Amino acid sequence: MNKKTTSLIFFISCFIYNTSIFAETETLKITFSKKALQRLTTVITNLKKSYVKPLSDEKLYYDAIQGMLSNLDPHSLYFNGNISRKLGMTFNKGDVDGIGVEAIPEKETIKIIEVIENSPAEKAGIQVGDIIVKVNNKPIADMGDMYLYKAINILYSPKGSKVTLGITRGNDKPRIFTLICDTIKIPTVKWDLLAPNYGYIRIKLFTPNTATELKQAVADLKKATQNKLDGVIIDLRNNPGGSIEATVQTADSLLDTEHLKDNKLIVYTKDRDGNIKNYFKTTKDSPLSHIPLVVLINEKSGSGAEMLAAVLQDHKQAIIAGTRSYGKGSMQTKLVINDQRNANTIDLTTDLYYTTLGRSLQAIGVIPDIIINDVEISEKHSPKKIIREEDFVNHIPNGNGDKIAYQILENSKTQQNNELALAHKDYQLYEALHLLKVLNIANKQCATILLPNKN
Amino acid sequence: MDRISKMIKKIILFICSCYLACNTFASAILDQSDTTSAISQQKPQEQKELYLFTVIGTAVKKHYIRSVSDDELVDNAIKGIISELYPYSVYTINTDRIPPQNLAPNEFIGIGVNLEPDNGLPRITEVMNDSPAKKAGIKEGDIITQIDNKPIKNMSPKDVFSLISGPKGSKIILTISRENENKPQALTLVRDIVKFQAVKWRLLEPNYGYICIQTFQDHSADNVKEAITHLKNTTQNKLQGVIIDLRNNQEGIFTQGIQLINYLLSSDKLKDNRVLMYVISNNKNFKSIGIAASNNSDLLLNVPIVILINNETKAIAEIVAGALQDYKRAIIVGEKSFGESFLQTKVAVDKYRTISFPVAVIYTPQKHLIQAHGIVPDVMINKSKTAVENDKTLESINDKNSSPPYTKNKQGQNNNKIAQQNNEFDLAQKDYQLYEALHLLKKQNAIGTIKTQEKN
Repeated sequence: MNKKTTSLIFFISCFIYNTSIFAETETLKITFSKKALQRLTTVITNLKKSYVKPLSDEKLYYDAIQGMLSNLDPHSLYFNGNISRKLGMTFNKGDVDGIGVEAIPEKETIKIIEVIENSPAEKAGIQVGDIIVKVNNKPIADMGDMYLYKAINILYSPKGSKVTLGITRGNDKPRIFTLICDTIKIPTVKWDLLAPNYGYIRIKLFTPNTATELKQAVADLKKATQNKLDGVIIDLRNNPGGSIEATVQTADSLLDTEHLKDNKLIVYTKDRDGNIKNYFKTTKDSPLSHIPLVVLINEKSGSGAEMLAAVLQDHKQAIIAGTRSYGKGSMQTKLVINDQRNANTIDLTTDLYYTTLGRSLQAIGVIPDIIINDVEISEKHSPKKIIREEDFVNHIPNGNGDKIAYQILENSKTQQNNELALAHKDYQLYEALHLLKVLNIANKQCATILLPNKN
Repeated sequence: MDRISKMIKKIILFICSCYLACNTFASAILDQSDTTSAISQQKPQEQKELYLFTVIGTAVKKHYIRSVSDDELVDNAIKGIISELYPYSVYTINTDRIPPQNLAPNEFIGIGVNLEPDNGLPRITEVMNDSPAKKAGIKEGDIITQIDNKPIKNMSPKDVFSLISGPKGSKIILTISRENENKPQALTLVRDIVKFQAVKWRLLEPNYGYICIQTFQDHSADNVKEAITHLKNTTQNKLQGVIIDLRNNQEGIFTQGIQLINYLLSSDKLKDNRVLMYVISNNKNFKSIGIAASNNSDLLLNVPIVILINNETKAIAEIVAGALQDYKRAIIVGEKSFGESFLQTKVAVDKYRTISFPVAVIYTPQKHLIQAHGIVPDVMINKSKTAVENDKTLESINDKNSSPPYTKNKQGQNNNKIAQQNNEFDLAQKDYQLYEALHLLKKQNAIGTIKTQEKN
């Protein structure tokens, strides 16, 4: 075609679904082979004329553009119109306007697969598995072949908008729910104490709020342990990633500049021409400096999560434990393409990223320092069958006195039960906790053995 | 917040510039109407969509992590459209640009095996006669673990098929794992012309014929006609029943199916209503097609027919079963069929590319929709063998004659009976549905005899 037509495209640096900064606006000279385009129009004309069901241009071209991208690689995707902007912003801002559900198409209806906590949907009593048959009094069946996209746009209406949904549950008659859209917050960091002075931080995904949330979690942990933190487990299992900026910010808050000395590189990316972009360095101290860290990963730790683990591994700032990560070492750039109607966006794989030591994780992932498989365990002996000295009625009392002995035994029992419960619930976490304890004990004992004259 | 408002301003600005750009584009296309007449004829809506497509395509070409061609992008796009349609919509690209070979309709180039997925790996269910696979010693039941030394675990059947197919004379290495053999072995095969026999026939028992149609190809209907002639000859015109096996018959040429129905329906049976099926295309009107000739005769006149179907019976096979069921010409036995019968069409996109896709849904003569509903058998018979396995009498008979049947029993009716029982037992073990279908034919004949006697 070799047209002299120009178009503008916005560039957004991105990582998986994520958008954050408008980096560039570009003028594009459109060139496309006439012959190839004609092939596409031949297909579309024929399908519209004779396919067993009527097909709309909107649907055919949506599938064409989606197919053009998704057949390149699994991460290049097309988002049509408003949904893209809204779903993109879910991760971009860390919050999104809507009723707070995630939905998928099912047999010309829409099925709810997730209801977000404290969202208008949850408050109204909408449940996972509910089927949406009507949106704003319009049956889904009457919305045409782009029904999913149209309906999802409505589910993500701006704060304050009223949305009515006709919902069926099981074999019940459809019920009408009226909801007022709100801003849905998506918290990404949770913390807990696993054992006295041993903290646990789970990062679900990376949004621009994650670094701040992490900082708060560390502060809360320190407060809860009265500044006596002996170690922290950072759980990146099942974390699909996020934008490169959000991930780097999180890495920055965990990397200790003092420890790093000269090499302050976090990550950089390279495009197909070998141009290095997104060269990020650490800027500040870590609130967790001098505290032993274990990072847990698994096969569902993808992209940003593996990048963070790899960077901490490269800098020897944490021990990586768990199973080999997913292995997505590519970076997508979000391109916003406007036409008169909508801002359409595409996620296009443009770069590979490289961690501090120049490692590419593409199709390899992060190999843990300590491999902990996700297994289920069972006790070899029932606790009832275990007999110790104190179980004999005529045992001789402890030399330090019964009260002390009783206290020690009770503590030990509680600890053993807690450990067993954790081992049953989450074996990887149980092992990671052990690792952290060993690390801590070794650190302290080595300090006394190797540096006897320090104090 | 600042950034957001800036962003909105940018978008507004941008929309204006884009609007202009789009008009330029449209008029430019009109200028070149000689080669892009298809595009210029499109409505403004489609021009907008096409414009968006070219913008995104151009951006992809410029920024994707590797360089991509226009051809690749458009092929991807067409694949994307086709993948969202009903199955059986296919986009074929003959990228090797091999000129089509002069092959007879029952010939193809390949290694000559039928495959079925088994725990994520293809298992060989049939090795064709005189095929490269047969020559290499591949056996039914073998499992292919690698093709050309590449693992294929969990690969889609479509992809496995494309790996196995290739031009005549080209080599393929199959790594085969066989039961009772520890080590998988690598076999090198050379692809060649394989003759495919879609129609097979044999006598199940004296005077009971069996015709299996695997797919409807060119000449399949005539092959059935030949099979019927053979059956009649070998039984000296004493055929008491024929089983037509349409199980796993998933595809084929529409006209062959219609021809077959015509071979089995006499004009008397059809009376005035001679419709073999109805179709509805996207214009929503019932249209009857396949009207049988007014002087049609039944090749199997007065011979009962049982048609075997299962949940893998699809497409033209469902049309055949449905028509013969509606006209009460055959008893349909087995499982409910798959329920996917469309009228297909094939369109050439260019010299090397074709699309085929469904243009209409099909109804049986009684206006029963096949799509999603399938053909419901008159007699349901599941694959399960349990009924026979628990039959102690059959088992004990089998135990007594542990040496192969026919070897030591040369004469005597008793021995023949035992041999027949053994045969039946084998059949029941091997193919319970066929065993039951045969019984049904026999029962039908027995009842027929009694009724005739009563009349007399």
